[in-house]
Amino acid sequence: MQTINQILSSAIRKNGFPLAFQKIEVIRVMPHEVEKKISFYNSKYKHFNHQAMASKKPISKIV
Amino acid sequence: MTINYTQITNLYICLYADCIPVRGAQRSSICDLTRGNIFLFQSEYFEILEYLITERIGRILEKIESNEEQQNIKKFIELLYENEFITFRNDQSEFPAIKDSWESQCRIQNAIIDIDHKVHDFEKIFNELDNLGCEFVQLRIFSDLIDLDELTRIISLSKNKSIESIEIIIKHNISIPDKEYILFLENEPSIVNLTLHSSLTDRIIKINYELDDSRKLIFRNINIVSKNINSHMHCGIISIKNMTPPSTATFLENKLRNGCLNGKVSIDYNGEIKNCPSMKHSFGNINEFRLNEAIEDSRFQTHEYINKDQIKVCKDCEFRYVCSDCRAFLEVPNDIYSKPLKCGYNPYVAEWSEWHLIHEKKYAIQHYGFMF
Repeated sequence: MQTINQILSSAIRKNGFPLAFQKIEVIRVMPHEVEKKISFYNSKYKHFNHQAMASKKPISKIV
Repeated sequence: MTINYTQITNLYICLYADCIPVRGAQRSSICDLTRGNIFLFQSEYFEILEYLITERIGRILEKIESNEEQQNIKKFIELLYENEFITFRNDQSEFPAIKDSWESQCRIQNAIIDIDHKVHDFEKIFNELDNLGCEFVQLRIFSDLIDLDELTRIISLSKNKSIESIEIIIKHNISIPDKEYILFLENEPSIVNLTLHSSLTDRIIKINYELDDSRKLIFRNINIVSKNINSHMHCGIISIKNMTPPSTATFLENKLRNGCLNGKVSIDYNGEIKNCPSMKHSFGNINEFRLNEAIEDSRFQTHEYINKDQIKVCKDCEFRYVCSDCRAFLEVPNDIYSKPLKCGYNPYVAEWSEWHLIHEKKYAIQHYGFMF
């Protein structure tokens, strides 16, 4: 049986997409579902090939 | 979780290197840099914690004569063990401390740009931020000046630059239906935070991108708030909500530099380049100066290096390395090492109060012109 890491690395190789920093939710699915999600993700973000990362610290404290 | 002390009597207690104790006046904390958690405990136990790691467990327990005290110490050890802050080892050198240093690959990490009565030259601003390696931008729009089309145009200028993401705080236009804001957010993946202020009510619109089989992939929110954010004067509130979950990078940055102003440049609504839009001193107007010239000024950099161990009261606070600080509004306005005005926490009694009701802050509240 494949480990989660093997499933992921296989999916990333096929799709050429950096999955490393996505939500943990993504890795808890079967391989074909991973591929579907990556495909969806690529189509959604035509200009970005990854989800934009927010600042880890508050930029201001106005809200 | 029960510990079998007979098995560990010859071992040392080792704090994991990423679990760092921070001594406060009344309470102390352990910042778990890997899990982003803060664990609070009474400061009396801080000395015990320091003592526990000095000798083998058997020797420590032998030295405690009272059975009751020994039980208390054991309970504390078990609490630390349950939370996975400590482990038991024969050799303490297996857990070397994380070195106190912080560095960034970019000179400027984040920028605040305020807009009120005029729109800045964003092409110039984003190009200059790109040269400085700026990753995060917050646009704070106080008026109705900019609509969503104009905002889309501004954001398009940030594309293909070092800017990783943008946070937007804009006045809620109640004539615009929610679905337009949702569409706007969906079409702009670089926006990681959209807040609509001056609305009628407080609510959150949750936007989920869904697959055909309804498996959710991405969750984003639009925060709608009734608070009328009409100027930079609303900034600087210190609360638990605004603490930074500790990671190695943020913890060490807060410890060694200023949690708010380090790696920050701001442009206020008049185009003045500042450390923070709420601060008085301008390092030139963006229409006449370049950002990289402004930030080279030694006075600009001075504020980046004011850390919490130098600030009165804060230096005794257990939250000091997770707090992002404020140097714009101070409890003693002419003392740059004074506690943030808008902090209602008293580390000497470990209690939060409404900051504007604290008697010692009356003068500063008048000085800055806050009305309550």
